[in-house]
Parts: sequence; C-alpha cells; structure tokens
Amino acid sequence: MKNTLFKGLSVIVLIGLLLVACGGNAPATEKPVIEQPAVEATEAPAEATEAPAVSGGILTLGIAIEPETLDPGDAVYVQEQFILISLFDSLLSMAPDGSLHPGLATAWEPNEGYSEFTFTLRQDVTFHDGTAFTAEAVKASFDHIVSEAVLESGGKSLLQDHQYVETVVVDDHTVTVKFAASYPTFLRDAARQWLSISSPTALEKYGQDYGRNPVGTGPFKFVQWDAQSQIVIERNSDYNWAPEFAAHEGPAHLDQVVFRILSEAATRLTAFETGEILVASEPPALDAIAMAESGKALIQTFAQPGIPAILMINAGKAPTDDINVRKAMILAVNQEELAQTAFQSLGLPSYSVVSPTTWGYDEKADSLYRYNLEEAGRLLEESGWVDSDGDGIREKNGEKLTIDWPDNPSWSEAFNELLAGYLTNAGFDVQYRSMDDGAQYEELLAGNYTLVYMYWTRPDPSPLRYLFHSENIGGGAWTNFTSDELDAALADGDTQTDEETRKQDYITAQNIIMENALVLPMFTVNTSYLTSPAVQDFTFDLEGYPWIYDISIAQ
Amino acid sequence: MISELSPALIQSNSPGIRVLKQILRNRSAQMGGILLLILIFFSYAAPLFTDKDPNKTEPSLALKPPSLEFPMGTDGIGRDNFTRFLYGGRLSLRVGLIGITIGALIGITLGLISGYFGGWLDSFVSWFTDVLMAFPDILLALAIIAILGPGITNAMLAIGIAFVPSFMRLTRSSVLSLREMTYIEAARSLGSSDARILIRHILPNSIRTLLVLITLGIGSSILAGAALNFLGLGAQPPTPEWGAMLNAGMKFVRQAWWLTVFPGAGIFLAVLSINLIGDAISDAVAGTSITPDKKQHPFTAQ
Amino acid sequence: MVNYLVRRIFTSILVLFGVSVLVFSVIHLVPGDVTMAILGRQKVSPEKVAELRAQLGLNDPLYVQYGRYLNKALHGDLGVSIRNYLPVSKSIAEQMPSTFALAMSALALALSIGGILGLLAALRHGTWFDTLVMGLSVSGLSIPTFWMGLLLILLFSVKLGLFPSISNGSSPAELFLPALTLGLPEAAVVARMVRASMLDVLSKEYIITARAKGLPERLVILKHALRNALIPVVTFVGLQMAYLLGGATIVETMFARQGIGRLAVQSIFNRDYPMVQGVVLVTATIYVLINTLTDITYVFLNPKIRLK
Repeated sequence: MKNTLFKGLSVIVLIGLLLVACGGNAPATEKPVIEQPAVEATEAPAEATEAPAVSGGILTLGIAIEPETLDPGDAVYVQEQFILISLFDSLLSMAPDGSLHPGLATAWEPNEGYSEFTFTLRQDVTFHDGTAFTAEAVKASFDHIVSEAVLESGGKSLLQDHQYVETVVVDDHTVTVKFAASYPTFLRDAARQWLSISSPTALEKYGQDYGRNPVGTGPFKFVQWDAQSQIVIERNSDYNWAPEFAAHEGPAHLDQVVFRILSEAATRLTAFETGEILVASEPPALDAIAMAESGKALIQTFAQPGIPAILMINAGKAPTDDINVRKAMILAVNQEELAQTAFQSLGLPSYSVVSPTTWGYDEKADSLYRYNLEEAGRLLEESGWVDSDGDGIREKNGEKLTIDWPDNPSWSEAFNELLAGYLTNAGFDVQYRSMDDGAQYEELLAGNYTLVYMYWTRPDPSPLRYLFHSENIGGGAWTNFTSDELDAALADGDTQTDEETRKQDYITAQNIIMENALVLPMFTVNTSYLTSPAVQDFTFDLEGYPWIYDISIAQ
Repeated sequence: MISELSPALIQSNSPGIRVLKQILRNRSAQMGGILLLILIFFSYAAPLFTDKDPNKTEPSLALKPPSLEFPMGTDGIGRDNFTRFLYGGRLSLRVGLIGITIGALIGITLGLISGYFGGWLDSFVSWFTDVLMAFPDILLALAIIAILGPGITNAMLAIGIAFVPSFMRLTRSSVLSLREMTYIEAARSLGSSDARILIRHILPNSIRTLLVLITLGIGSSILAGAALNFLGLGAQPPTPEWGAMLNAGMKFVRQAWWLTVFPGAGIFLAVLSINLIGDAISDAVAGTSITPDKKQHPFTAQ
Repeated sequence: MVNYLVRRIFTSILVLFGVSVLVFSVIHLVPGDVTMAILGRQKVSPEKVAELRAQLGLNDPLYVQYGRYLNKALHGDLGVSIRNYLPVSKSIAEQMPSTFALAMSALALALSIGGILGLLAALRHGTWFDTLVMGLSVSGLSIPTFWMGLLLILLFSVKLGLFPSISNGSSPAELFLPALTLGLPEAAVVARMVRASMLDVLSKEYIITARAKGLPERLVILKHALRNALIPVVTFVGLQMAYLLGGATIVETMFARQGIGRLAVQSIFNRDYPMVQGVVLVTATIYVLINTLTDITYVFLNPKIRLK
C-alpha cells in the first residue's frame, strides 16, 4: 500500500512539473491571429468608423492542400499559386478575358524573333520589406529561378524550355529578358505567378528559407505560416499599383486573410457550416448545392480552360501499348454520368484533351468517343482479352487485364473509385495505389503505371507540348508515345508567331492525341467555392484563382 | 461470480472445462458470444445474404436510403452498402484476428525462450522488448507502415508487432513462476528435452493468463486496424473495410447517415462483443475483474 | 539507493540506445533507393543520385552512419524534411505544444468523468446505476475514436453550435471536443479502475472498523476509502502519457489540429522519412524519460527504498 501511495505521489509531482514547464512555454506559441474567430470578423469594422465602409475584416478560407513553398520561383502546384497571387505581382497582368495589361511593367517590347523582351518598369513600387522595386529585382528573381537553389518548378521549366539566357539591367527601370529560342507566349507567361517578382534583399537574406518567408509587392504581406494549420497574410497598406482591370484601386479591403488547411472535404464543410471559415474550397457537391438552395451559402464556380481532367495512358507498356485497349478504356467510361455523380450540377463531362472554353479547341477531336460498353468489349475481344474464368476480369495468355494507377487521392477522391468502377465493368482489373505526389512521381519515373491523372489550367492548349512532345518522355510526356507529326505540330505551336497557323498546329495535335487514344478524358475541372453571403465581390482571375484583392466582407 | 457456481461445477475434474463452463454461464459473455457469432456468420456467409458484388458501381443508384432492395442504402457511387458492410466485416475481423495471431506467435515464443533459458538471452530479449515498448503503440504501427508502405497486409503486420511486447512480457513472467515448480524439475530430471518441457508443460499452464490478453487483444486489434484504415494507411480503395468505409462516408454525413452509422456500428459491436467475452474470461481465470493496463492491451482506447 | 539510481539510469540509456538504433534503421529498411524518395519531383540523372548518396554519406559503413546520426541527434539536429526542407526538430517543436495541451486536457477529462462515475458505481454496488456505469464503460472501450469524434462534432458543432469543429489553439472551447474524443475511452478505463479499487478498499478491515466505530459514512468514504482507492489510478496516469501522445494521431486528424500525431501521419503519406524518424524518436524518448523520472521520483519519495 505504502509503495503504491508513493509511486502515485511521485507521478503527481512529475506531472505538476511538466505542467509548469509547459505553462511557461505557452505564451510564446500562442499567436494573436489564431485567437480571432472568423465569424467575428464581420463585426470588427464597427469600431473603426473612420475607415472606408467596405474596408476591414478577416477572411478565413478553408483550403485542401498545404503548399510546399511560397517562393514563386520554386512553386509548381495549384495550392501554391492560390496564395502567391495575393502576395506577389508580375511584370504584366492578365484580365479575366485574357487581355494583357501593365503590371510591374508599364510598357514592353519584344524583338522581331520573340526571343528578347524589353520592359519599362514602374518607379513607385516598394516590396513589403521596404526594398525599392527596380530592374535589379527582376534580374534577381529570374536568375533565382534558374539557379541551383530551385530544383524544379513551373517557372524553371518555362524559362529553361525556352533556353533562358539572361536578364540585362539596362537602367534602374528598364530591363531586357533574353532567350536563345523564340518564345512567343512569354508575355502571357510573364503575367503568371510563377514568374512574379521577389524582393532581391529577401532572396539573399533568407536563402534556403525564402519559401517560408516570401516578400513580394502584392496587395497582401506574408505574416506567418503554421505548418499543418494555417497561412496568414495581411493587407499591404502601401499598395497602390493594382492592375487596371481590378474593381478598385489602392490597398485591399480585407485586413487579414487566413488560409486554413483542412484536408478533408467533410471538415471544410462542417467548418463552413459553423461559420469558422467564410470560404470553403472544393466543397462536397451535394452539400454545397443543398446549402446554396437554403440561402446559407453561394456557390462560385469557374469552368477552367486548358487541359481538362484526363488520365494519361501509358502507351509504352502492356496492356495499354495496344490501341484497342486504350480505345476500350475511353469507351467504357460514361463521362456524363461520371461528372453528374461526382460533381452534380457542378461538373461537366469532357471528351477531349482540350476543354471547350480553351482557345484553339477542336470539335472534331471532341467527337471521337462516346460511352459504348459493347464496342469497348468488342475491341478488347479483338485483341484477345476475354474473361475465361468468369470472375469478371478479362485475361489473355493467363495474364489479367490489369490497370496500374498510382495516385494521390487528395486530388482524385471525388471520382477515383467511380472511374475504376467503369473500367471494372468492362473487364479491367484496376489496381489503385494511393500515395503522395512525391511517391507518385517516383513511380512515374520508374515506369510503374498505366494511368496518370492530370489537368492543367491555361487559356490556350500550350501545355500539350510539355505533356505529349516525345522530348519530354520520362518527365512529363507520361504517355510514352512518339509521333513525328505530333512533335512537329507541338514544337511549331509553341514557337509560331502567326496566330492562325498556331491554332492549326494545336488542332492537329488534339486530333493525333485523340485518334491514338492517348488520354482518357473525364470532366472539365470546375473549380468551386462555397462562400458565405457576407463575402462580397468574390471573383476569379483568368485561371480560376479567387481574386482576393477585391473581396470585402459585408457588415 | 465464483460463489454463484453450483457445487457440481466445482467438482468437475478438468480445470479447463470448469473455466469454460463458468464463462458460458456468464451473462455478458453470452451476449457477447451471440453478437459475435451473428457478426461472423453474416460476414463469412455474405453470399447467402446478398448476390451483389461489393465493388460494383451503379452511379444512377447513388445515395439511395435503406430499402428492401438495399437494406443499408447505397453509397456515393451506387454500391450496395449492405454488401460492402458484410464483406467489409470480413476484412475488419480478419485484421483483428491475424494481427493478434502474429503478435501472439512472436511474443509467446520470445517469452518462452527468454523466461525458460534466462541468462544473456533473457537480458537481450527483455531489452529488445523494452525498446519496442518505448514506442507508443499507434506510433510503432505507423513507423512500421512508413517502412513497409500502406496496405492491408502491412497494417496487420504492424498491429501484430505492436502486440509483441505485451505477449512476451506476460509469457515470460508466467514461465519464470512455473520454471521452479516441482513437476517441471521432475520432468527435467526424467530427461525431457527443453523443447518438450516448454511445449508440453509450461505453455499449457501459461495459456490461462494469456487467454485474457488474446481475447481483449482481438478487440483492440480490430479497433487499431479500423483506425489505420480510417487514416488511409490500410485497405486501398475500392476494397471494403469498416474503417475505410466510415472515412469515405464522412463526406456524405448530412445526406446519407447510413454510410457512417452502419460501418461505425459494425466496429463498435464487434469490439464490444469481444470485450464482453474477454471480461468474462478474465473473471473466470482470475476471479477478479481485469485491471486494464494500457501496456498490456495495446490500442485499448483507439 | 545510489546503486539503484545508477542501475535505473543505465537501463534507460540502454533502452534509448536501442530506440535510436531502431529509428536510425528506418531509412535503411525502406524498400528501394531512399535517394529517389528524396529527389522527389526532380528529373534525375544517375550522376545526381550518386552525388546525393555521397552527400548523405550513404556510402559509408553503417556504424559510421549511425555514429553520425546519433551525434547530430544529441545536438538537436534531426535532419531536414525531404518535402519542405525545414529542420525536423523545428517542425516537431512547433507541433509539440498543441499535442501536449490536448493530451493534458484529455487526461483531466478522463480522470474527472471516470473518477466520479466509478466512485458512484462502487458506492451503489449492485444497483442499476452500477450496471449502467459498467455498461457505459465497456462500450466506451469498444467505440472507435473516429466514430465518436464524428458524432460529437455533429452534435456539439453542427446541431448545437457550441464548440468549434476545427481547432487550433489551447483555449478551453477549442480543446473541449478533441479532448473529449480522446478522453472518453480513457474515462471508461478510469471508471473501471476506480470502481474495482474502491470495492476492494471498502471490504478492507480498517473501513469496517471505522464504520463500526460509528464514524459518519461521508467521512469513512472521503477520508479513508477514497484516498486509498485512488492510488492505483494515479499510478496508472504516468503510463498513460505515451498512449495519449500516440492516440492524439486520430483526434488531431479529425479536428485538423496541429500536433505531432498528425505530423507523423502526414509524413508517412509524404514518405518524409527524416520527419517520421524525428517524430518517433522524440516521442519514444519522452516516454522513456517520463518512465525513468517517475521511477526515480518514486524512490526519492519512498524512504523504504532509500534505506536500502
């Protein structure tokens, strides 16, 4: 008895010590911004009567995936650009209608061969850290992207694919960017977040840690990033260089924006329902519709141009090295039903490698395949795939008709099982293997896959080159398909300065891709957000990222 | 409990039968047993109750509420939830059983060897067990999955390994107390081999204490398996499994309660039934209610 | 006494050594080439892989690699995440307070709910209330945490709007639901222990004597029985720390909380091996330290052992 008593006491003493130790630490880890619940934001402006009527408030958005970095030069993914758009400006800006406008540059001039571009820069811009924006900043940002510090990124592939040479500082406010190859789309790319401009002082100061301490010129400043939890940005009150197509001028309306990382769609919905977040990205469709009908929320959707949601089929590996098998896969999927089941009225079926809202979209390539299970079966039998043992799976020479699909379910949870179901109905044995992006990339490099999920938002079909040109086999062109005709069309489309010829190139490419059944089209990515009625002026940028600069919260 | 026993029972000659009879007379054990038998029967005789394919999608029938045709409704892509529940139960129960079997086999063997032979072998095995025990159970399982990769087989293995220390310790202490008994000494002096003594004499006499750990362990193991599946580290889609089904159903929690309620209830009832039986066994074996020691029953409160 | 201390500390060091060896081996037990996992999304050439191998010291003999790993770990350097390139120790330090707050509040809830129910059940031994508490307790042990968490969110956040469904900080409101989810199964265990130990104490001679002396029942219960009955429960608390740290995994995932449990799951998904190693090493070390400290404190407080 005594022993137990003392043992018990010692535990109490120990826990007391731990509590004291922990209590001492607590204030340091508590950040004031966390304390502010989003719902109270709407009341906040009442105190600040002098401020403009719509100004103020905290907008909390529930986002699905945590960015890996906030260094624009190092970024690849959607979840990164989503936040970068508020922190950074680019040389040019692109309006939702696709027209080019001044950004950090007021004027620009390509040379005749579209390989050198001279920009005249604004003189009144400062970075969040107080550094003045000059030609040096442009050079530092672009040189940073192609430097060893960046392993691989969207910006790096844009610059390197077009053989970036150097950025020449002509004077403080004039800069020339030089490429060894013709790069007719550079001006459009210069408007992207990937090529936005970082503070040269911050790049130097933070080095490897810059991705966690981004400093730009955008309408919001970076405040903090709590891993697995949230990213907080606050209004840049000096901001006075908004693009001319924006709805207002001067600083942003919101005091603060909190990107809350909530990886489960169900969690985002619950948090939205309870008012803990005011905007939920990618809500479950059924709930979103129900909530919108009850007037408790608005659904904001954006039909994305570019490459719709497709599965790239590995044509370099059995069984999909057989065109009949690939065709059968496309025919086995009922895209209309798939879009309807997975996204309800928020999804649109897709039948081609380019979505209908894209410049250069071709109707003929879109018309080649429609759901036809019998025809799929016929094609498979023609190639010798029959279900000989009655288990519903087709075999040939004792081999099962196996589809290997390594994938990150965070991207595809809405439809992956549904899609697998269609293929199973046609007699395929679908092996879905869930993993993260990094692991998936390894599997792709090793060639262990049949399907690769892909979508790419872009106003034109230019990503086709990255995805299908044979020079990218082993790193982007996951179809492992080589055709000189296709390569020629894609290469020309990328460098051709004549718009009509360029369009024709892409039409040719679309048709070759679809005739060879290199992709299984599924649906057009309809980015959707659930917003509280209090959130006003919610609009999208050209690529479907929320344009947070113009958003305000009603009182 | 013991005072309720009739004299006839106490007189019965075999202690094993006596314990068994006592368990069978325990009301909660009866409830647990019946419940468990029903669950096992429904899962393993699934084809008797449903002629549907658990993975067959029928998008036009998505999210139908329970009806005669679909007793537990359909899921988001039109699969029959009842069929998935039955086949999912198979897997969930199997994870529990195989997990605990792996843990018991390795743990008991180590415990027997370590306790019986003593010396440096004992020190080494005990040290190794201490090291394993330093990892919280779920983290140990997670670390094993980190090495082996997600998947149902790896999940079972991970759970099994997490159970090894408990079995090893319990077996070892029981062997230590038996080793010096006269009948063991006698067997040894009669020239029985070590293996024979271990298997014929020591193991059967340790089994009573181990039985409690095994039974309650199955429950914990089912819970742990469901938890790993819930986290997406076990069964891969579209394979039905209760934990994974529950996770998938969370998306539809407002439209389709049947997608979270049934698999959740399945896990709950399976574990409950086993815990009821385990309690009765421990009453019968020890005469007192089991003291729940977390380090003896990994995952107890997952 | 000194002898005991030295022996106890030596055992712990041996265990910690084993822990570090196991954790170190993770990166070598991983199937395939770990450099490929590290290089991730880059287009890799064989030269680059070779270069990285040399850089990571993967060509050295294992014991050299282990020595280096241990030396760094002892200096607080647990390596760098291969996904976001942040120091592992920094990430863990960032996530730890949240897990700790959760574990502590879960423990507090478990002790209060379980303690009161167990006590009342023992005092009303054999009544319907006793049966009810025992039934609740066995149910509490059988219910999957994630299912209960879901039901709690639906009830308290969605229907009643009382508590947040996602939580980050350590305010009582934000901790309540996660702590309840983690603590209720614990409460079930505590209730059983308190009941059993209370019943045991109540049948002891000194209680019977106290009653026979005509002491008021309240005094008998509070002064004599309860104090003694709680001892095994308190002992049990020390052992729970490890479970709570590990069990936070699911709760943190459900409520989108920061914490090392969720960090572990995410790192496994991301195959971020240095991070997995770091989390496991730190948690195991904490567990070993708590156990050692408990034992040592116990010796200091217990004169019997000190005399030896």
